[in-house]
Amino acid sequence: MIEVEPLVREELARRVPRMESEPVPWQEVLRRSGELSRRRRRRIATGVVFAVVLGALATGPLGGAVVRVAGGFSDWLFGTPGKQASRQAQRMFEAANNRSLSPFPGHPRLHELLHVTLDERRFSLYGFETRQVVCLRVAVRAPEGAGPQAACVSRADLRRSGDLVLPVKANLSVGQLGRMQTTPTEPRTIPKYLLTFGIAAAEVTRVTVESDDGTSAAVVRNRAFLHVFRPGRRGNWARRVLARAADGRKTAVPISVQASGQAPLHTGLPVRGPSRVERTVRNGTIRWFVRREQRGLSVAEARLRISHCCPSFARVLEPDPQDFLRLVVANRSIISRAFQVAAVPKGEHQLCFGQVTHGGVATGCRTIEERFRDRPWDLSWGFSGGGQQIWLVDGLVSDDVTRIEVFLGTGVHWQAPLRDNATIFRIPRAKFPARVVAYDRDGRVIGVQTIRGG
Amino acid sequence: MKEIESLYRSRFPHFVQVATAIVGDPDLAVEAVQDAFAGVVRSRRTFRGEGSMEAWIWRAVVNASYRARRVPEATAAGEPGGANGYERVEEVGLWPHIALLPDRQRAALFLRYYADLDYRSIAEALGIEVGTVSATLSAAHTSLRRSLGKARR
Repeated sequence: MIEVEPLVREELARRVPRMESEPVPWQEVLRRSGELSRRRRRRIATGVVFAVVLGALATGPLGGAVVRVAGGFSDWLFGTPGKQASRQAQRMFEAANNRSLSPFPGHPRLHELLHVTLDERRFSLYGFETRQVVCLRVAVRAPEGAGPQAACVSRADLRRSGDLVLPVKANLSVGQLGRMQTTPTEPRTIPKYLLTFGIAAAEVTRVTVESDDGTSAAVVRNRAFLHVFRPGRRGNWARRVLARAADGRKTAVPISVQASGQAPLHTGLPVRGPSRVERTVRNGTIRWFVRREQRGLSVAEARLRISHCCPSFARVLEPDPQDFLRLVVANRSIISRAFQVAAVPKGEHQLCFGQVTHGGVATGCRTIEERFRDRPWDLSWGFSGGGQQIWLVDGLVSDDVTRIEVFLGTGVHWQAPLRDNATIFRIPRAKFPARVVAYDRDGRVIGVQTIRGG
Repeated sequence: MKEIESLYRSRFPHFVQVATAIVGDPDLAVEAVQDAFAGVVRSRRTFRGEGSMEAWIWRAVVNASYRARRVPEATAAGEPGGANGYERVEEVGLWPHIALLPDRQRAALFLRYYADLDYRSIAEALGIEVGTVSATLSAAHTSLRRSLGKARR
């Protein structure tokens, strides 16, 4: 007689592993149930009274503090501002999302935030949330054409930000003046329009963008801003975003210009956090990978449409259940179908690793011995997509690492997500330099990586 | 309302796990769980307290998961392993046999093994008698045992 119960238990656990934390806020359930609307109606009456009191307070010294508590990025922390986008915009967004190699999870709803019209061209800014990440998406209706561009920031980053604005993309070019540069020796293309956009705190009344040729105002609405300008000449870039609040507070956020010939952004912030390694770790490993344990998801379960090469072992990992960012580890190189680049098999004993993006995935391969010979981790950082102001840090760590902390130049520090020996997190470019520190189980520093940005 | 929210927070991974097993897609499963809870919040005043609140919610989650379940997409021609990946899905072990069980037997298995519910709660969640739960699980085990026996021969 076959003892079937343990087999069932084992098979079910293997087939559908349990998630480790709650990825969807309770607020979303209330919104779906209509409970939030009911509560909102009840609150309106209270709100009217509150607004009168707040208005009176705002003129006094207590006013600023009250506004800060009620305002900030709270509208983005607990939902998505703006009104639901048109069905057509939503359909287009969903179609683009479905084409993606790694779609935004949870069928996000697009919200319309604001529009800017310039030279009969319409630049529309939308917002949406997916897990605990909020994203802005700009769409341009213009003869020049420009595919929609999205950029995201985690709610955790918003909570940690002490600024009035958080630019997510800057100097995103639309159209061009004159000829397109086809060889490096030709003069560089001059963009026709440059777009800078981001998230604004509730109390922000004005956002301006400082470029090489002067300062001009952005449109601010629904807790977001969009700045569109015509650079007119080569080398005229947006350099800083300046925001002013109703209580007189001001913020200036520097912009990283990712164009050829531009120097890396120096924020002037100090490097913070531990600088000394307290224990040297050599020849680490990732035991679950060596044992071929079924961590994370298989490529099929993760619904990744990947072709080329056939590693006998590949797992898709989500180090942060609050985020949609995914990484893939495999024992042979993986290159996505989107790139149509032939994989170069390097044997079956590699530890290949890469981030899954909407456009594709490409892994870099090294043996475990190479990765962890004289350090307990292998980190990389950077950005993808034009004008990104939010950078990504990702990497693999050996079993020696039990905790990773991030120290920003602003003095803020936090614990980075770490699961299945993988980590991935965002850092706003304006908060660099960042120091990433790895700790062992005894709390000793075993890795220090300072990221100054490029 | 607090009890519903508390169950949502404390048991969310279990709800999603059962929903995923029924729906076959983790994203759709999360949607189904949220829809179920939205329904529970809307109709909370109709809960008469005859059984446990948790079992009542499980019933909503199971029903929402069945509603969300969709037919698997056809495999795209020419792509090794199907449209969703190059990796050949390993269809060995018990899963193919579990997938062939009648809906009620599968749901009972999921609630028993994923959610660790007792027979009374499973009965309330599936809207059946307690005695029927025992018979349903027993039938599922027998069926799986028989399938495994055949496969091993």
